[in-house]
Amino acid sequence: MRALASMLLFVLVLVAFEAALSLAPWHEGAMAAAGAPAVEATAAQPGAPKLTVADYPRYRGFNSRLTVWIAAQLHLFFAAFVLGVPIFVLVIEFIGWRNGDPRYDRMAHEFIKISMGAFSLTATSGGILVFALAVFYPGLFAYLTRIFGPVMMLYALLFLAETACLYAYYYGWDSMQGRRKPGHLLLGLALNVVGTLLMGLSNSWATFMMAPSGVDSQGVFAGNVWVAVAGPLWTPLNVHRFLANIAYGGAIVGAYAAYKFIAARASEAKAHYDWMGHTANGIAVVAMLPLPFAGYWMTKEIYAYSQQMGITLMGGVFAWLFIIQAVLIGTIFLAANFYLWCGMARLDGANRTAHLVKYIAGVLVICFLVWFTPHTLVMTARELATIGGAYHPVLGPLGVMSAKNTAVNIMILATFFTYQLFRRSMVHSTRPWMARASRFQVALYVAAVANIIWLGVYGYFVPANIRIGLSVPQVMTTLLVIIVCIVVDEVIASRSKRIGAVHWGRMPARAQYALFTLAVAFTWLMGLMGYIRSSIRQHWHVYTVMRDGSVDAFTPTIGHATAIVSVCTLLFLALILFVFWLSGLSRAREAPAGLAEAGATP
Amino acid sequence: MTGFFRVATYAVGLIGLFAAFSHYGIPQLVPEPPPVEERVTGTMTTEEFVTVGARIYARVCVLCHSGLGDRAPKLDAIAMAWRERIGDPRYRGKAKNLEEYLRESMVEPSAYVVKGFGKPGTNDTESPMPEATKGALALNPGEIDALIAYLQSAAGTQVTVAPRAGLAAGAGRPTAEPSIGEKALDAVTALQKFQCNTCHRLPGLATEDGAQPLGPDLREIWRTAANRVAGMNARDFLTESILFPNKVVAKDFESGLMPEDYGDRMLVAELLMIVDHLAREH
Repeated sequence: MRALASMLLFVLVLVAFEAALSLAPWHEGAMAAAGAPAVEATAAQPGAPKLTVADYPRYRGFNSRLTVWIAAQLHLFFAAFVLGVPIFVLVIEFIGWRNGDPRYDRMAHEFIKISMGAFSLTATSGGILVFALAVFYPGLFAYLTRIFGPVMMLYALLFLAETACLYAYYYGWDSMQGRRKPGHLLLGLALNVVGTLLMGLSNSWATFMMAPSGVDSQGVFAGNVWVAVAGPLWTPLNVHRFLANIAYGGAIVGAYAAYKFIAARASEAKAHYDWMGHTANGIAVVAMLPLPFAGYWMTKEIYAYSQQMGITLMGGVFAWLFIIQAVLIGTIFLAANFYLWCGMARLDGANRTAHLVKYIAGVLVICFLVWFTPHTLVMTARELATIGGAYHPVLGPLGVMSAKNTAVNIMILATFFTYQLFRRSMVHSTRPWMARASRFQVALYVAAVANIIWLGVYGYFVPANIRIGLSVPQVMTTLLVIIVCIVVDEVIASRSKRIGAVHWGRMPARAQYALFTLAVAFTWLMGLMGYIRSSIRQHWHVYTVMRDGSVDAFTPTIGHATAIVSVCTLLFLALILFVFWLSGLSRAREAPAGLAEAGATP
Repeated sequence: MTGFFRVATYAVGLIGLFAAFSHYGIPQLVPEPPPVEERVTGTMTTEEFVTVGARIYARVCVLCHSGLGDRAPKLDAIAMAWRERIGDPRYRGKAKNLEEYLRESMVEPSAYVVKGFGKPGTNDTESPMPEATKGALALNPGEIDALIAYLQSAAGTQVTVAPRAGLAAGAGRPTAEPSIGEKALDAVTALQKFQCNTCHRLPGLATEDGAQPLGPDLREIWRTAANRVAGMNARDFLTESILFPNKVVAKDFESGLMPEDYGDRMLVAELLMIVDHLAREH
């Protein structure tokens, strides 16, 4: 009931502010009372207001920008988590239903139970965000409301639908088993469809602020709200967030499983949470693999919309933030792989492939260093003179996108190879064609890596527009290897005998810290990228249309920005720990049975 | 509980590592403040006019026209290149001299696109450069003139544009309204412009020590500003004291003496300069 009350509160806050602020006389009266210059308007439609410092209320003890920043970031963390988890919960539930294994069903139920507690915090943080935005930035909120009023009303209705679906899905879990399971799965599907629609609607407000559409250069709204919603960056952001939410949800429930694993005493409980952690890590990694490509697409669309914004993003002061991003993504790749390598201790047949791990680690580190190498940086004259130019004389060529695309594709292949080793360690090829299939896979890897490197090198000798296009065949090569190898592995696994058993729970404690690393790094990375995405608008509320006239209309230093990101991460992790604790309170004390020596397919 | 603290310590340590790398492993560049409109007056010398253009160039143009020639064409050889370009069959403009070519390139960038620098897929018929008088740039005619003067000067040719007074302001940026007057170029000028020294003793401004001021002495305000109101740092306190002077009134001074309309009369840049000036040790 607490969650339901929070969600209703959120909807009420949204509807109330929407209704109040969309009343133009109220807004203009408030502006006049504040001594603001008259809002620029045409006879038909008012444009974007030109705000001055006096239009931004200030309250003692509150920094307007920091308050909205932290509230928005916390809401985004929770929203990403609660939208991502039901997607893979539905998939796991479906797998359990199809193969008749109740352990999948139980794990899916436990995952959704974790996100239930987070739902109420999502609604609460959303209410705080709406409140803060309306209080500290009334001019901006009124302008957005004037354009997106109908969308906000739809959003509120969908939020109620989301709440209804979630409650029916969660509380109907036990009663909708057996013949009723398809109905429950449909309910889960409805939950995800509504959740994705919600995400899309709220994304449109963010992308409108970055790349406004449906308004003229003065911000006058043409009247078609769909044009305002479906701006040039809307689809790429939707795709990017959809994938990122799944990866993030996987990372957070992985941390939950790791925590439970460390706290567990009984071997059955350890086995259960080990399996859960392994599954969560797999979800996070699988969803993360296409993320760099979604990111490239998003960046490409930013460049297409405004080269100035694109260069500000990648070549201006923000360029340094991508060095931090490289460190975080490198951390995530290494942590995910480390977890998989440790996981080989669960397998009886892993010693056949264990010697390959050191080579994979080497490849990952080399690729990480290439990705880490900056391109063109904003430097002082002294630094420029020391280096001898804007590029490092030796390492400079590694900084361009040709090298980075090559590195990231090979990192993804190396990560997939680790996962493949894990799966192949459990089977023993008994027929000659299986050995030939394995050799074919090796040849495919070699050819793919050669092709990716060749395309990368070729990129140095062609113009920039062709070079950018080369990333497509590189990605296609990577995806081809992954798909073909999955198919071949499935065929081999289905016709081979298994070697020994999977000893779930036979996992060192240090491996659990890899899962915590994933959760922390993902959260921090999301905070950082959210900051970058938002701040490339610089001193604009709505880029080129509505200028930020507040005293905070400046880009903070990297240290200041990342300190706020760290605070947001700490706050979120503290709250999510609270959620874990809450979900533990309601958990039945039954010990999950029959997993310790089971062969549940990883 | 041991496990909990171990995990919490690990998480906090990891966040600390990321934060520390961002602080100490990455240069702490101070980004440019939001741009303010450059005012061009008819009394400027050519040298001053070129300096204004150089400032605009450094703020607006150099990110793309960086001199490396990888994002946008280099402009150092423009004095020679313009003739060749307007003679190119792909040229769609009307320029007859360098000044016209530069102006046209800024307000109508697709009139001629240097090979290899067009938008992808347009076969160099469409420039990715935004129109300088619109959108995020929104330069006013006076600023465009100043840029042309700078580019001509940097290219080593004769400067053919002269400063003109009273040119229309660009849209979207804070502009000096007639009632606001000329933007002060530094904090001391801003303090003088708003006659702050009539009532306050101020750092950097000479005062008559014998006179009893109507407002508090602000020469040492940087020492105490951060401690005046709980929860407010020095900058916030000073900002609020300027915009809403009667919220917190210093001991021994009367309320209601200081005007409350500085929020309307001051440009953001002037407010920021004054706050910075007062918050800094002198």
